[in-house]
Amino acid sequence: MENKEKEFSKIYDQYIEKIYRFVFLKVDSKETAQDLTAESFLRFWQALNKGNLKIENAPSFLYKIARNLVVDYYRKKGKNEVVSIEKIGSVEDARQNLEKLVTLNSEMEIIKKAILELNEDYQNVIIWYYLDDLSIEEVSKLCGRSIPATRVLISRAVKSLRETLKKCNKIPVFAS
Amino acid sequence: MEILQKIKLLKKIKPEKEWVFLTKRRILGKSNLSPLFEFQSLIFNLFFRKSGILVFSLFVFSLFFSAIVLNSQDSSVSKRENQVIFQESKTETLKKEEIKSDKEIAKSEVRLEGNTSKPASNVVKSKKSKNISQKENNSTKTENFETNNFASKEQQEDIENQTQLVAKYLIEYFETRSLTEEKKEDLKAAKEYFEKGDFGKVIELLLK
Repeated sequence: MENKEKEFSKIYDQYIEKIYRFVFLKVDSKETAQDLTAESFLRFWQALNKGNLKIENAPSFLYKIARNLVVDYYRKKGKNEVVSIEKIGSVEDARQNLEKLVTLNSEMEIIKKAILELNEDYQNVIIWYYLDDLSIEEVSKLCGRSIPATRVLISRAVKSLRETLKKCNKIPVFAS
Repeated sequence: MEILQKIKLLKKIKPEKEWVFLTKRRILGKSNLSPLFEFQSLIFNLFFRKSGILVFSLFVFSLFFSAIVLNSQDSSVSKRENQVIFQESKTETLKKEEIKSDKEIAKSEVRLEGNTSKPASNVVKSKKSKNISQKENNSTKTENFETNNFASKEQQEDIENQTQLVAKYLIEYFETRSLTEEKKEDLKAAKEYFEKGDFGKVIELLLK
């Protein structure tokens, strides 16, 4: 039992920031990110206790749980509450969106919202490869694709993100 | 590439340390953290997260209240000291009277028994023993005073430490908040007072 706790502790310390960031970039609040991240690690701990899990598979298991929890979260909540770039673009009167302007008025918020606009695969590879610093091999395992296919996926994801950001810059709401 | 730099900006997203530790503890279902950390996190949660400045000001108030209580205890201790001194002075006067009566008895014995030197030597011995006992009494008195002084010094140090702790917490708390220009000036001044060791002034400045 103590060994398991030590293993869990090690994995927890190693991945808590990554899983939190992974979730945070997909949801709209810190509290939701905290809840889903905590739930991911709780399920990981339960699986580890039952002996259903090899410790080598821990990262992919954690990301998988986190992804499923995010999907469940949106299924329950309905994704329409997330601020859409398209919606912001169609808004003519900036005054009506004062609150949105305040929250989006930082580069980090803009890039977060832009990532949220991408499809799930693109979001994941950008987070894993550029933020979590996983290798191409690790990303390919998490995606379930070959290494060349993963490379292509990453470059397409970056291209898509660039286009989304260009859209953002054209929107007057973002011009600070 | 600019876009990659923008993506890397998101690396700044990190969970709060307190939350990370507490979540780990909750998942493991037991406390495997040091008691000191638990105390710190409890204090942090109690004062800064749950009810904010209101609870914190209550804490400061209770601290001052305890300081006042300690002060009153100090004064009661000094009253007790005065009583002890008064009683001791009484016993001293009684002893002096006893010595006088001893001398008189000895003199009368000398007169009665003529040239025998034994009683006189007994008187000398009794005098000596009285002197010794008086010296002992004096030394115990000074010891009592020293211990009392030491206790009050310890209490003062305690109060000072607590005030320092409060001042430190206040500075740390205000450092994490966005402040008005006036409040920033106050914080700067408070830091200077803190370095000088004037912790009361720090609290006064930051809670005004």
